[in-house]
Amino acid sequence: MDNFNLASTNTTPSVFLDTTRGILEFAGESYPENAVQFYQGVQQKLEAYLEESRDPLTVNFKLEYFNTSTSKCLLDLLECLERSHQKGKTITVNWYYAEEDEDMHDSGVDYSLEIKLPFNLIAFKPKA
Amino acid sequence: MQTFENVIPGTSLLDYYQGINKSQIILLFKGAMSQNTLVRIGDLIRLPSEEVGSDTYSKRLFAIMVEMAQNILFYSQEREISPATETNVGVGIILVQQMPNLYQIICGNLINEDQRQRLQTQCLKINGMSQEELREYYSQQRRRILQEGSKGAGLGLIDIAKRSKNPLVFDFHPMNEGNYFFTLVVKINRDPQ
Repeated sequence: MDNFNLASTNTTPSVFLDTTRGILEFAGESYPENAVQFYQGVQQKLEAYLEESRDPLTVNFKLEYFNTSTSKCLLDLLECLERSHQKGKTITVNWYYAEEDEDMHDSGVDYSLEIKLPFNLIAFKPKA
Repeated sequence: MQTFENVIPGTSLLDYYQGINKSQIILLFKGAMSQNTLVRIGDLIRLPSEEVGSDTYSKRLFAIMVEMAQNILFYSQEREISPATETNVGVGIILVQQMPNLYQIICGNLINEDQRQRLQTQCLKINGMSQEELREYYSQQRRRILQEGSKGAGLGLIDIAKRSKNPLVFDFHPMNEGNYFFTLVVKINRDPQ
């Protein structure tokens, strides 16, 4: 399967799926007018990839901000990963947050409690 | 000298200017809230962290503003066709007040009776909850909501209350045809956390 690459816009994050290295990554901000439409597109690609690949997958969330409708879409996406994990696929989620960003940290904690997946919370120092 | 008495009925432009000054309003928008407009207003409210104390604080203001503006965009009963995108968008008002120890974001738009009932129930429920309960309620609602039928996820008010860490102040003013003007006031204390 081909790599998948979406550049970020004002209101949508960059998304890339590197099928060779087994990395799916989201970075930036997410508050589109229609989050469902955006994330359904991403999820379809992801599901197709999960169907055909048996390799381990690392999912990196490097989001700086997301709105509530995105929050629901991310849960759907994580549930999709969880199902694949239950069927035996090795999946690791890395949730990055700026070390002072309490809200983004808490969002990660809340997802990690709901989703049965290896889930790492990773603090980083924001660029000065 | 011309005083522009008729620019705003019942007041002069100078009165209006001074009123805005006195109310410590640093940003005010009234009109059709398209997604593009929302992004632009959002950029104006991304206050530099040195000005507001911390990056988290600046982000909170932004996040609350986005939820409020998207509520206007999707749910206001007063609609207009946005010339830029030719989509149907909601009309409303949003303003930001900068006070010594807090920011206050206020939004308003037209709603119907059904919306009034749901908003009132939701606001009262939220105001009766602690921060921990709000977090649990948010997760619970997020699991329950089906994507279909709602453009937003119906989580906006919970998120606003969670981030502001203050009770929601709200009002419904009766208007024509069984509609109401909904006002929501959200305080965000300057004191970090």
